[in-house]
Amino acid sequence: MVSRILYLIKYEALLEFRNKALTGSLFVYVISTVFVCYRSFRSVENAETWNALFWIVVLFSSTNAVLRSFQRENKNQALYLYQTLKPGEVILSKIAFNYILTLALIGGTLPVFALLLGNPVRDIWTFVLIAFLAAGAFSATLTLVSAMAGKTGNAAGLTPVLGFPVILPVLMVAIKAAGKAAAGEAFTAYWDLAVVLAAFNAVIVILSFLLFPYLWRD
Amino acid sequence: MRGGFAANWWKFLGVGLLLFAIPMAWLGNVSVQVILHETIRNLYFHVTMWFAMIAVFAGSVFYSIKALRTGNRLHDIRAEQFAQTGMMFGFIGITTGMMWANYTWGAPWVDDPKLNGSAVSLLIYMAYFVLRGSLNDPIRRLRAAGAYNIFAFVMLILLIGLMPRINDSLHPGNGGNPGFGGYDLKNEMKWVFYPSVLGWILIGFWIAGIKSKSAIAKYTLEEEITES
Repeated sequence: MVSRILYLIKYEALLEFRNKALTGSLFVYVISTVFVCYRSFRSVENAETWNALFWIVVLFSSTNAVLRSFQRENKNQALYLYQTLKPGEVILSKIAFNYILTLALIGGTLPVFALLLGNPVRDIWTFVLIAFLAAGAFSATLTLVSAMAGKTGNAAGLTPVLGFPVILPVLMVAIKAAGKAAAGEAFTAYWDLAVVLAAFNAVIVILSFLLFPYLWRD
Repeated sequence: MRGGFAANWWKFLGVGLLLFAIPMAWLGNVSVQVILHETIRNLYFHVTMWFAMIAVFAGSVFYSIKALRTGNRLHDIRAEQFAQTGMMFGFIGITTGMMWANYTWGAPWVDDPKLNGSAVSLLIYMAYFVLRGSLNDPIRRLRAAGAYNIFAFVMLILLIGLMPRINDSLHPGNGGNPGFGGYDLKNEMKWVFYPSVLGWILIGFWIAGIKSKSAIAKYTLEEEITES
């Protein structure tokens, strides 16, 4: 099963990078969003505001990235996959690929943010750890939700509507934990928030694994 | 009522409990505290709405699971009707809470984890109805809406359980505020509060059951018309 999932991740990457303009559009999206923030705020003195803004940009750009995960294959390819694969393998590989994509987007957002809006983050490694955990919960939630929204034929419109209220607890924990990392507090004081984020990841991935078989049949 | 008393005793119990609890909520003794004073009586009306909402939403998720497992559309209709009933309790809960907050906190809406949690739960179920509304094919609707209902409910429970631990709440009994703690609440208040919670939950299930029956009747009628 693992080797098939790895193969599927490669397949996803192949489909994604076949259209390099689309992949590039994700990064241009991030840069222009950050630039809009930069021109609106000029400079962000307050670390709390910086942090909140950063996570909102990450949430929107990862929504934008995940949206296409069920539109990459055309109808015939999807039918072929349906006959040859198990739904659990499909959803896990899609979540894994979107996770990598979201991490890459965070990796792209952080330097642009630091360049234009300043970098108040003192404890960068813990901040990165929180980002790794939050990216997992974001990508898994949005992947499952975009599978539901895709049923309506209006995935772009419905994914944020369905996903944002559900993702809010994750976002709040991530902002809280990342804020503490930015302020340079000792990790021992808020490691429980990281555990909560990890638990969210586990719950969301298990739920996706259980629920996706019903969405997959069509 | 079909099935006689044996199948419907819980409806009588619900009515009986509320016939006891509502007058007692106005007339019974309460523990009068600073700021709260007599507004503590809102405990019987406002807090019970949240318990009823969560219970009815749980009923909706129960039917969503059944619908996914069996593919039976009638369960999907029940899940929708239960979610609508839960929304009704949610709106009443928000309204009673805002009226109360206006007098005790000085504003109808303040930054409080419980308020945000309730706002999110209403947003989630609004999104659920949007999802249902945008799917015309009943089988697709059953699957997508059912899966969303289950997923969103689990996340909602996590949110409700987690939020007050992340931020202190202004609510009585939270963050060192007096209220629902063991010695803040008079024992006799519990004798009104718990029956009231149970009563509203039972009434909620009754309402949702009637709504389900009506929606299913409508559905079968439409099916018969299209078949003939």
